[in-house]
Amino acid sequence: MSANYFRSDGHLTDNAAALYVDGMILDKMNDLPDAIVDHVDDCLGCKQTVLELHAVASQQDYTRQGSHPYFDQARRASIPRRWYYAAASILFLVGLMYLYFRGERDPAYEMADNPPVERPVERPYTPPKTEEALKVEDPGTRDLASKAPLEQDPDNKLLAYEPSVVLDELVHLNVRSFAADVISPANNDTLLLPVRFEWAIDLEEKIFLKIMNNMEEERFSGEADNNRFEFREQLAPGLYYWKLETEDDLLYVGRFYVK
Amino acid sequence: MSKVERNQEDKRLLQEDPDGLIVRYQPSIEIIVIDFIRRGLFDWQDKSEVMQMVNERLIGEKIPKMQQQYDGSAFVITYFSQIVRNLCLEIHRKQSRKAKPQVQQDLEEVVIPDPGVNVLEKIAIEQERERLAAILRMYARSKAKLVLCLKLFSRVAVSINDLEDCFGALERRDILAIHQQFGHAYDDMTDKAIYAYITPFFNRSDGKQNSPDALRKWIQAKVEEIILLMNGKPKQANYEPETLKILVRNYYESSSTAPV
Repeated sequence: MSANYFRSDGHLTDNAAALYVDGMILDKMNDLPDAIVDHVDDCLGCKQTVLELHAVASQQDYTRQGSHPYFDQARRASIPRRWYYAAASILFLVGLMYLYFRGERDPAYEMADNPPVERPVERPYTPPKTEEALKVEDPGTRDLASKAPLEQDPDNKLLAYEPSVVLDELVHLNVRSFAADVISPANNDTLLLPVRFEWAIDLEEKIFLKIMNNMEEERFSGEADNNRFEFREQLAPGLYYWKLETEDDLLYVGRFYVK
Repeated sequence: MSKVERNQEDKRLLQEDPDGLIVRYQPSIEIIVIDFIRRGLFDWQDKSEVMQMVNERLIGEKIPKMQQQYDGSAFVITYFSQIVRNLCLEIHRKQSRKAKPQVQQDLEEVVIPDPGVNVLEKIAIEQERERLAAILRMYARSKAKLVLCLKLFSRVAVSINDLEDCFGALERRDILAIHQQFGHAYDDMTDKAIYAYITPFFNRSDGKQNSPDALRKWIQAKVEEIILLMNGKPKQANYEPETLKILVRNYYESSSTAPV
């Protein structure tokens, strides 16, 4: 695909102007070539061209156009590498698990690791007869002693910072535009306990504050008076979301980190 | 036709059956011609004639050029729309040259002479809001600063988000101090007082030593640009700084969907 976005007079070609407008309509402006974005940012004439084209293009039906020749090609080019690494990691782990369990259970491996000094008499396999024997361990039911190593695992610590797609979407939407009235904490602040929540929403209804972890599990819920609340309980390090709600409405969703 | 094939099919038509493409895109041509009529660049009674001229020019000269020049990076429908827009502008220019006095008179009728509320009363406000939104999106590299300055210029309450987007390098207490000043009504503050207050924060955030007057000039230049874009080329509206303030207030204060 040609990357010549400019005419001899220095302004955008028709192709580049159309690409820019596609980016506006498809909300993919962040994926546009920097050269085009920078030029439009600086050039009043090209802003005018793009604006007028956008005005007529946005009245047309883009829903059935299918994949975009530039943006979707760029995505296709970038996704395989990410997926390649993810798939390779999964395959590697599956392979390791396979080798581990095979090593534990396969008599051939047992023989290899433990010379058959006294080979027991082989018995036919009999399935477990009791329900107890069929139970799979639920990580949530493990006692504290067995849970501790799980929480110390660096991978699990990282998981506590994984964003929630659903709650992030609400943060982005700012729900009912009360974002301007929220004083603290600022989105993405890293906080030490206690956390002070403060806002300036003028409503006669009761306002409730909820705190959720990144798994969307509620960690706190309570009524908040006087447009402020100080949360003094313990929270494990990680990413958290907080909501302001009335009994009927969601007013605001924010996010913060706990050290 | 399946969802995925529409643009592919358009590409094929452009190369193999351009007449078929022109037939398929008649609604698009009509949308563009009507847009020109709404902007006062053509008369309603000339609609069919203009569409006919566009079709003739497409078949006669533009399609072979499009077949050569379309590079496949954008949707065909957008590229085609740009070509039709160019054709309409050429036709408008030719008509203007032929009948200049009459066209000038038509444009004067379209351009509303009285600025202020009358402008907003006579235009579709939602369309103007969308136009402003599209303009702001095009300031990709300076959008945060522009949004904040445009709000200050129009005396719109600024949000913590505005300030965080603009002053990433400032401390929280500075953000709260600015929010304390401009987060609520400040209509009675003069431009001079506003720029004097905010300039040190811009300087601290950007590591510069600009004067409040430099910021005033920057905002003034951006406001003039936005006014030119809102008015269109050829001119179709008569925005002035005070009219733009009304639109900006309407844009940020009247709808929960407006970006903050």
